Amino acid sequence: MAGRGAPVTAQMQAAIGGGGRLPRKMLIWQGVIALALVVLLIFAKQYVTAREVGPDPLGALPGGETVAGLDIGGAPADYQLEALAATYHVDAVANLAGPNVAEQVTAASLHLGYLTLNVPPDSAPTWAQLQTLAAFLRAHAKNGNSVYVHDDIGGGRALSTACMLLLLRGTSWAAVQREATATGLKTLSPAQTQAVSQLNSALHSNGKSLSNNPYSNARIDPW
Amino acid sequence: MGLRPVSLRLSPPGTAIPDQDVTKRASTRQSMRQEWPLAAFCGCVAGIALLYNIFGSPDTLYDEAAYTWAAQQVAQGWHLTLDNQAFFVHPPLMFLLQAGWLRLTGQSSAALPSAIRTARILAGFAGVVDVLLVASLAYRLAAHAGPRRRRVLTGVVALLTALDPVLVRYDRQDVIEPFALCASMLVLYAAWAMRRRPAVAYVAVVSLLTGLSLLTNQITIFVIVVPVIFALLQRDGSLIRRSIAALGIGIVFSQVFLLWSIELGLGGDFVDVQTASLRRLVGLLQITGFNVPGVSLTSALERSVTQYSSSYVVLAVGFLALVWCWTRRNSESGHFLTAWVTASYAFGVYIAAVGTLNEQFFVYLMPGTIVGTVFFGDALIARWGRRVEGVKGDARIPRLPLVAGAVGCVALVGLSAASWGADYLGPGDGVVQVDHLIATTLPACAAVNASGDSEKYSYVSGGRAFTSFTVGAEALAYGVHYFILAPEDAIESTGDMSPALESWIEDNGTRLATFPSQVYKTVQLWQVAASPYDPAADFVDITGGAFVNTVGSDCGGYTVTDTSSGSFYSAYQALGGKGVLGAPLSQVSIISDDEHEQLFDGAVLASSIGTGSAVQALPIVTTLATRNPNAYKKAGLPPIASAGTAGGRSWLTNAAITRAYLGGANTASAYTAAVTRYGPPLGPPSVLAGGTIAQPFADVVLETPADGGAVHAAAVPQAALNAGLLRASDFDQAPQAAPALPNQDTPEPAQPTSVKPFVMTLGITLVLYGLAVVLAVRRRRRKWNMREDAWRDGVRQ
Repeated sequence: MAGRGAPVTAQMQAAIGGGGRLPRKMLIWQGVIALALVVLLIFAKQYVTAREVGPDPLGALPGGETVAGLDIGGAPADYQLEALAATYHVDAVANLAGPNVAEQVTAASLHLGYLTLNVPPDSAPTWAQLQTLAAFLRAHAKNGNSVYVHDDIGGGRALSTACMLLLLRGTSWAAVQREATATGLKTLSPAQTQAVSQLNSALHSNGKSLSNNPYSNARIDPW
Repeated sequence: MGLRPVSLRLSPPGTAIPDQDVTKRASTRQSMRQEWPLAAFCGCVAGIALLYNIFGSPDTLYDEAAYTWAAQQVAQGWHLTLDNQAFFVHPPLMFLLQAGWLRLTGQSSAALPSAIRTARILAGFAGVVDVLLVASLAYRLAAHAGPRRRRVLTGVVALLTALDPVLVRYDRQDVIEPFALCASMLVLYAAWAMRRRPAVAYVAVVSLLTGLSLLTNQITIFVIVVPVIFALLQRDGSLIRRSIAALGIGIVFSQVFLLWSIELGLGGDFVDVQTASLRRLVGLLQITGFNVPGVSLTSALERSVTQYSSSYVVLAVGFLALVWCWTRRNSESGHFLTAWVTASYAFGVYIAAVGTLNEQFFVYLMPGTIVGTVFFGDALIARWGRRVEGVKGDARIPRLPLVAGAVGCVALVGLSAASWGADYLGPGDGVVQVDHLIATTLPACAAVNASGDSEKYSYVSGGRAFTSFTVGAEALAYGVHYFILAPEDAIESTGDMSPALESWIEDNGTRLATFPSQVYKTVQLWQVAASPYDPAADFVDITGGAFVNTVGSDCGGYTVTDTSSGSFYSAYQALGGKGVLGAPLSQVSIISDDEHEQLFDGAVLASSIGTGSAVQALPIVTTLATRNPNAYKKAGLPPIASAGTAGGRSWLTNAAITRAYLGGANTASAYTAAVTRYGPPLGPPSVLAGGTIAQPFADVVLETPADGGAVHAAAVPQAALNAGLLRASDFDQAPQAAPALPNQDTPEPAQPTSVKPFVMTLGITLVLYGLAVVLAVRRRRRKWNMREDAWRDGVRQ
């Protein structure tokens, strides 16, 4: 450097780095440390990203949970439906609480399939409704997509429907009980518990006629 | 200054060693006398940049509206809350300061727009102080330079800081940043200025300022850690101990915030909130900023390049300064700047790569990078100058480096100034203006869908509820017809707004007003109208039927339900529902002891006790045409065939009307069912004025546009009302209240929210802290006296 060794005038003094370049050895060490920090940052990014969570749209819904691949819960608002579509790959919505024009137009706006069934409170779907639901699920729950099945409050209607759909698919009763949990099953009304039980009996009747069982015609129907 | 006697006695009496502090004080006074033009320049630049048109721009953010409202609550009754819950997201110091200011200025209970304007004045002045502190620190750090160069460097730092787009954006608003930056800059200033003062003085002042900084905003930890890094770089054991002690005591001091929560009995809530904040900062929880999944940082940078270009340049050059600092030998001030720039970039790189990348966090980065950039430029010029000096033997800085530096500086300042001019010379308070328009022109009941976050509009409008529909069609279904649209919200997919909703509003609505806003790229008010025959609009399913909004934007309407008075909803749906009969014009009304009727746009539905709950349409068309033919004709309804003319099914000649009438295939049974529903045809289809094709039936007149389209029933009941055939007094036409809209925030359970315990604890802590400092000083003085006596004894002997 020109002027090296000569006293530097005040005009030429710099606040930073005025003392000249650091020794080569120190620069190498600093370079290694900087590289290590970059690697550490990359690892931190990987670590944090793997554990990164956003808001869980299903968990935010009343009674929202996944039961053996079926997403069930309460009535979703439009932003929740959008979030479900984005996060849970929901491709269609099955509404068990009766007609809901607002939800229907929202589903249409979001290009989601939509099905409305009128399952009365504290009841379970009829055999005809189950068949409709199974066909609907066959059409939409494929290629990694799922269907959001809901009632108004994420209560017994949604849970009993999920249990019945799983039974209909051929899932064993023991597996359904495991998925729905004993606590969840306790929330079902007597009528819903009976309906699930009747469907389970009908599916395992091996052709025997079952009097007074509204699901006597039910057969395993994988969807 | 209270520690002065201690310093004065540092030198043993009788010696001729000049007192460093006295010299420094004299030098400071002299310096202040000499540098007042520089101080005035910095003050004027900062004042103009941060206070000019501060009421008009920038536009109000959620934080500003919410924090000013919260400060008002504190000013009115010591309650620090936004939603019935104690506010633990940020420490209370800034809110207390603003509350005091609002109380002093009589704005405690003023309308929020007015309170925001007042609060902005204080925030703006804090911003001015920020600039002055940054410039003062730069001045102190540039002690190596000659007086003229030092002034130039300080002036450039002040200009760049005052005009920096990121700093200006947040320093002109009532948010935490101007105050937090001010507090953290005081820590840096004190740490640098007192680095050679006795440990007691250093720790006493720096730790107190550190604590206050953390009580303003905890994120300032990334700034106030600079003295520790500086001490490490200096490899000065004493300074390392002092700076760590100051930071540690400051952190302990800031736990007054935690104590407050415990005093309120809400320690658990505090831990939850703070844990969530920490998880957000670390990046484990991404709910705001540019690292949220689905938000593109690159496109955000591209969009903001015109506004923030000079900040980006400063950040880029500042990074070169960081590299420069770490690869060269440094003076003491160089080490301080290295520490400052390192802390800034460490924080910046982490939040950009992993953590929560909120724009306002850059406020804490920019001062260090600005000073680093300017000093780096100065170092390059000096280096260039030394090279030329070596060649020419001239001691002055050569012209070429100076010109290059000046050009670079002017370009950067010009870029900042251009951005400032574009953003702050004109009006830009679209949020306040749109709220004012809504308050003064729309009825109080009118529901308006907000853009981005509804709370901001709600706070500014004094509590009016705004909806947050993300899907336009759903909003319309609930009867919401007014929409606020801020294009920037759509670009960033903020809150409820998205490009899809923006397109839907623009495709279906009419723009009523546009207000300027640089922050939101205008704030617009739109109205989306809907036909009364739109089956998907103004129609909310309720238990036993539906509610149809008929008045304005969710201002009221009528229920259509199946009740003991009759199955009106079932009949309505059987006749085509809203798509055919239109909206109801009345509630179900008692016409006589055994008869209930409900008016609709296209029909009159009636039940009578004799028929159970069955409801059917009245032959209103036949009645009007026969009893008042003139009124029928005047209403522009299609002519009725003369009595006795053979027609019936053969009159079903229009395909659209026939399909709607029969509800499917043209069969005899379908025709019989249709006659039961709508009555028999009264004539063939006719083309009316305007080209509409209409056909009369006994109960309804079905009409369809000539070019095809939906078929619906003509407004015969209104014509019958106008003609006096139906008595308006027979029908209850008072609109019913609409059911509650979804997406409305439910109030949180109430918690104790008084901030008085915090103030008391802070006061007690300050007193105890003061006592501890006094004791420490006395102890130190006693020790010094003993040493002095020993020294005197030694001299005597």
